[in-house]
Amino acid sequence: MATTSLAPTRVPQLSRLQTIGISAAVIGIALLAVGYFVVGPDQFCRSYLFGFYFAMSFALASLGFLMLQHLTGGAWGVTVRRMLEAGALAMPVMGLLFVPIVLATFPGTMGILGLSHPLYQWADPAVVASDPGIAHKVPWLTPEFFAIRSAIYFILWSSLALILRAWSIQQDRTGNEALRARMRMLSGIGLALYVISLTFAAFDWTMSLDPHWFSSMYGVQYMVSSGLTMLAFLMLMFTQIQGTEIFKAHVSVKPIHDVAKLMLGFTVLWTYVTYMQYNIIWSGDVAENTPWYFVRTHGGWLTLVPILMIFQFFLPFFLLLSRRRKQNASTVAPIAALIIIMRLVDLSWIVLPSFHESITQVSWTDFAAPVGLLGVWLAIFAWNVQRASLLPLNDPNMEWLHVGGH
Amino acid sequence: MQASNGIYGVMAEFDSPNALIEASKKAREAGYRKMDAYSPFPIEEVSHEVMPGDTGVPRIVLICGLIGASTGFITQYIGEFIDYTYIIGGRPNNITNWASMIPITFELGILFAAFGAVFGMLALNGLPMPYHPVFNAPRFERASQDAFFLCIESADPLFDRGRTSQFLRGLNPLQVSEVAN
Repeated sequence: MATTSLAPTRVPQLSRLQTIGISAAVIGIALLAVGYFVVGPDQFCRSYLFGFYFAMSFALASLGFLMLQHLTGGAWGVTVRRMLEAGALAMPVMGLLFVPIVLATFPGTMGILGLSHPLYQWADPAVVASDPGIAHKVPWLTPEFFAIRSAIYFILWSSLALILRAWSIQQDRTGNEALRARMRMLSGIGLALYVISLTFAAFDWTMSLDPHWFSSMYGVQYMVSSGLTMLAFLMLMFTQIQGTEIFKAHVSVKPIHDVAKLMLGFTVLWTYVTYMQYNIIWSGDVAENTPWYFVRTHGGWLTLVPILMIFQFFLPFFLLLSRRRKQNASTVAPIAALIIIMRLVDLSWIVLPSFHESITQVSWTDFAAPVGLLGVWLAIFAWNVQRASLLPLNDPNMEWLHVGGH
Repeated sequence: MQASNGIYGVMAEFDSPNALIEASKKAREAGYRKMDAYSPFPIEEVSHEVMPGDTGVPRIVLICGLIGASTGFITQYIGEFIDYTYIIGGRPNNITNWASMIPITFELGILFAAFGAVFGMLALNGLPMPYHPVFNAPRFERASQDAFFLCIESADPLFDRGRTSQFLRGLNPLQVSEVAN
């Protein structure tokens, strides 16, 4: 194994991606700012939360897969590690972007944003006083505890992302073999904490928009669907970087095939958790659980359901069954693009009906916010990918790329 | 198996998976098609060389899976909505109830697909097979332990007892031997 220090890989496509990210961030956030005055502060905050939740799925899945591949090893892991590190490194910035949501939650600070009611119903003392169902949950759902919990999530995720990146860069410089074991150890602990914290974050940020409703599958659904989003994004990235010298020298078709296989697996997993949550609640037929689905199947929201079934399950599933198609990043890329678009549709169906009774009430800022906030993540991602070698060549796991097997 | 040759084929033994990958690649480039490789564990690159393209199993699995899924759905449909139309727990007993029938549909789909994979693979391999000529090759029992074999069969149009042995010897094997029929 080489122990020479590795230089950052210059890829023109990535600097173009960075420009696209910055442009999307500027345009999206500028439109959102205009929206603040056009559609009002309430709608502004709702759109912002929705956009944040969508962009956050990329950052969270980057961190999750980063720790997973440290634990499992394998050719696909070393191939995508630098991209996962870059995506996870956005975590501190995502934490800063969460501040407006905290401000909108405290009755004392929501005035700064011009709100007359807090973003979350449970933060409104008047609602809590008149609704015993919500009052029952108040020890957990208070603005203070909500803010503390979110701070803990972001400190945890940022630390994991920064430490794993620092060790990985150190490995690039020194080739120290002990670092692999150290990264694996941290990932083992980190992944357990990650699953717990992500589940609670999903409960806090969007499940609590309907404070009466609860589903233990909600966090898993967010985790799995974020994973699917990130795998599709990685596949799109393969089409951009597979022509680089370093990629051609080290990466065969196998890691691309593996990521495509994972896409197929996660497509089925998304369908499974999404369907099982529905089936359990439908079968149970309990009055406090069914309203969440009632709202999402009325007021025009039902139209998104067949669209999701066809374009988030049936079409990608049957297209990804073909082995030959999965072995070529260019033929998987259109499916990956479809999956990312459908991820946005799925999150719209999950989050937006809490704000809009009818699908026709969806505001244009609900489109601007995901573009702007994803742009921020994309710019950070592209910037960080270019700051290191595209492959961690000094990692002992690189041997996976050069021998038969996974 | 051509009787004129009198043998099943020529077998070369290699000491590493990479040597086997290299040899199967070269044999394919030389134009040989009727060949097979034997190794203690599956090597994807080798199967790509000795048997490129579709094995036929994926299609059997897909068809069996679809048959299983439709069997699951249709039997539930007949049972619940035609023969025994009981209203249970106030739920509608018509097709709007389809989502509740998905678990069985899914499970029968998986079950039939798995049967298709196992039995389809056995059938396409011609198993069970009490006798196979490759076991006449010396040291062949090591193929399930630590040795890697490539056999070019006499059924190949390019096969020639002398020249094929010569060719395999040029691939740096541990040994080359003829395999009796």
